[in-house]
Amino acid sequence: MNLDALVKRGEVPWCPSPDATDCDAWLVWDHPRAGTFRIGPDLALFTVVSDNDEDLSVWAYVPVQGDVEHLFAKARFATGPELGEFISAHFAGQMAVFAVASDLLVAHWGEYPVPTGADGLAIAATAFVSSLIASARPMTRLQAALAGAAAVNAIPEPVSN
Amino acid sequence: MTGPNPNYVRDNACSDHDGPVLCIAADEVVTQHTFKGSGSYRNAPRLGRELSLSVFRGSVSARDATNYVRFGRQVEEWEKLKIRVRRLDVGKLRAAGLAVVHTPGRRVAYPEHCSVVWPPDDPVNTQVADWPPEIQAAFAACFTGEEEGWEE
Repeated sequence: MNLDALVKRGEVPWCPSPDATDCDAWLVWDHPRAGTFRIGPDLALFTVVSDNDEDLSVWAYVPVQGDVEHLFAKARFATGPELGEFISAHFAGQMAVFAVASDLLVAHWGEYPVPTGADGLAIAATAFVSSLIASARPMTRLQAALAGAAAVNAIPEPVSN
Repeated sequence: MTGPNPNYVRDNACSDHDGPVLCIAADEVVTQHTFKGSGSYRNAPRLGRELSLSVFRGSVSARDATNYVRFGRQVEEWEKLKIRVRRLDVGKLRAAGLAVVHTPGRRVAYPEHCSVVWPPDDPVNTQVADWPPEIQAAFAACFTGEEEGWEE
């Protein structure tokens, strides 16, 4: 599968190309957050990586090889975390496409390898977003860094005398 | 652009003998989740992206709700400070002209998942995302006053 064909600008992240068919939402909360779709005969797995009800969200995509496709057809999960483990295991060690969506429309994307381990998706997604920030002008990078610091409460409140 | 799946509610509706609308009793509550703190709950689907709002049947904790939305992925301490859940009254939702459809899903077993739909005429088959302002206000007014944050 050509990874570059997986997503297109302006599409919803859970069915991210005009060529996508059989969009199958596995888990929905207001909108699909994980599932599969096809590009031609090829199956792809998608998952949201970061979505906190904010305008921006990060999504990941990886092709499903034909020899394991049967596992996806019959996949059922007793709990959400069981689904999360299945997804993490399938992304681990693969070259994946990461996309940032604005207001749930794909805006930018890039290919990154996903390391093995429980945080593999988060590590690869962070590398992707960091590359977007690094391409900005210095003052914009500073503003992004400040926004990030504020988001994680990394800057303590000043102590008044 | 591909829009939301118009068959999602129908394809994920429960098979209860009372049907996926009436199996949720009017005296029940449902739980809505937000990552952004009190006052940030959404009162309508996002146009062109969604056709319904997700809620949990009954009183689901902020921790359990987040565990479903995130499918078990780690929740950071700074996120826990903002995560909230609120309860909505099913009887009031119906009186306001909305329908609560039980949609537990096919792939991930989650019996609490429901979809709030407008208009209520045929909610399993027809959903409209463009909720009028008065419907959005009526949805918000179904808040029971009970809200919880993340509790260890």
